[in-house]
Amino acid sequence: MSGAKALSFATVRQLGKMLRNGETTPTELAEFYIERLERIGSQLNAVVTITRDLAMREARLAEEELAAGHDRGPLHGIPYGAKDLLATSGIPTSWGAGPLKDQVFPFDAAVIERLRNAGAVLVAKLAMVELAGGMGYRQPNASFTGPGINPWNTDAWSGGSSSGSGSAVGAGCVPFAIGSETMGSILTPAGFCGITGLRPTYGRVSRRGAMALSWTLDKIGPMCRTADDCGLVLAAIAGPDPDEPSTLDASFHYRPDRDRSAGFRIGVMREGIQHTQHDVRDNFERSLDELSRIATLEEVTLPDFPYSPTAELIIRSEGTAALEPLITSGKVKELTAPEDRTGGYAGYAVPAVDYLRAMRIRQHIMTELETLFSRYDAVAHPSFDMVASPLDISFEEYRGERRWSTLSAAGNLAGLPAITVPNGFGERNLPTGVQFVGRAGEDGRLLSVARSYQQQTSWHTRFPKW
Amino acid sequence: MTGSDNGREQYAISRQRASEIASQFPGRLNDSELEQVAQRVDRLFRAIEEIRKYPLENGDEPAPIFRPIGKEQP
Repeated sequence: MSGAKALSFATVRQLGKMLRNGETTPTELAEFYIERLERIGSQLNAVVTITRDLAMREARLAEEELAAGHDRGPLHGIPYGAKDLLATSGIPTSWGAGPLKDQVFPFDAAVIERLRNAGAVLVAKLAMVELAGGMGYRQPNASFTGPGINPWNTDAWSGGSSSGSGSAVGAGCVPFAIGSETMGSILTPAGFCGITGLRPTYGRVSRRGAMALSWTLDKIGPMCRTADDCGLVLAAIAGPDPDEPSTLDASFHYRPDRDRSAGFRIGVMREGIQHTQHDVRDNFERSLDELSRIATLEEVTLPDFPYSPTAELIIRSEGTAALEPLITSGKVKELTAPEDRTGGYAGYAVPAVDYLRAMRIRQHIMTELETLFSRYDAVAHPSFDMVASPLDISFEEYRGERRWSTLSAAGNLAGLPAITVPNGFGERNLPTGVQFVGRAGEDGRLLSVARSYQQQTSWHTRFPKW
Repeated sequence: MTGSDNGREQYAISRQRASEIASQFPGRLNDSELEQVAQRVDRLFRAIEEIRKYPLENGDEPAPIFRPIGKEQP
């Protein structure tokens, strides 16, 4: 790889070494990635705002501190992008929605604060599906910045709702980004763009200052090149927040040197495999062969629950409540996707008793899944049943008769951590992925599994031609 | 009653509920948009139908645990 190419796709850990041995500086890195965001990120509809002034201030500070021997840790001086639902003081935070494109908050989200304290440099607010998909979008063109474009094939979608976070990391426009997931919004774009995305345990990362879609389902997590980088970023953003009551009391410490790299016990979930695309299935089977070098594998099935209907009722009820001002004011009419202009109204049809019924079933789901997942270091499953859909057709049209597994709904309902890592390519040269889902609170163990998988494979070192 | 009769009746209920919602926002939705809302409502009603099949006991509490705000007693 050429110098520029190597820098574009360097990991956080590699960049940290380069900064400390004098090969580059925080201001050089900020300039380098801002240029890529302007030139490439804009072509991929990945960028909402480039935060140049802030970035250069933060980079100069990092430079001075590192020169003075004040080292804030592995993210010090490293540029990153944030999904545009995280509040940034004085800088617009659009939530991906045209009617809110000039919205400005007078405070920073907790994640932005924590990354600043870790010395990271915010270079861009990244594009996303409008309102994080809370209005039920059904095709890629659902953001005022245009459809998220896949760095591997510009006729394909980037995935959503953390679209810009996925494509910017995938195209080497930032070393890492922050995304959020209510039901698939980290794992989908990470999987589609061929990067590594971590959905932490619910409550692991404070959501203070983030757009709420579903108070009981929203999570914030890192989107990076490797599982190791996800661990470094998670360690910086995780932890209790007295001003955010859903945060877990326990701190998270990332200690890869103390973790196992083999001897794992992994459950293999095959539900829905017969409906996946051939390449997805073949790549998953190859992943299982690779995993068998570091783990014992055992077939598992999820206990029988109405996962998808339960999740849908919770998201629609909470989403309509959370975004009600946009519905009542009529601003939803200004959204990009026609289906999003009417999608919020249906949530009013859910009776309170049925919302509570869903939440009562959810308690059973959590209990049963704790029993199941406590037996494994992780459960493996394809990240998605197909590669990214073409830009110009609806998801349903591309999906056809395929019916996807219920693991995403189950894992999100129970607040379980999950990580997707690239595991090959499918049709139209688009990446496929394998996901590992872990026991609630065991983010570190999940990272160990994914890191060990990446030590056995090289898919995370393949990059698109940008 | 056939399955399709049942489906039509179910959809009529969804359409009615969508109209009630639309009446809270006078002049907001045209016929085609109202139809889209009805389809979404119908989908949610089917989800409700599914979860109502799951048996629950009186003591089954919802997932979020209510915690009063205040200092814990020693």
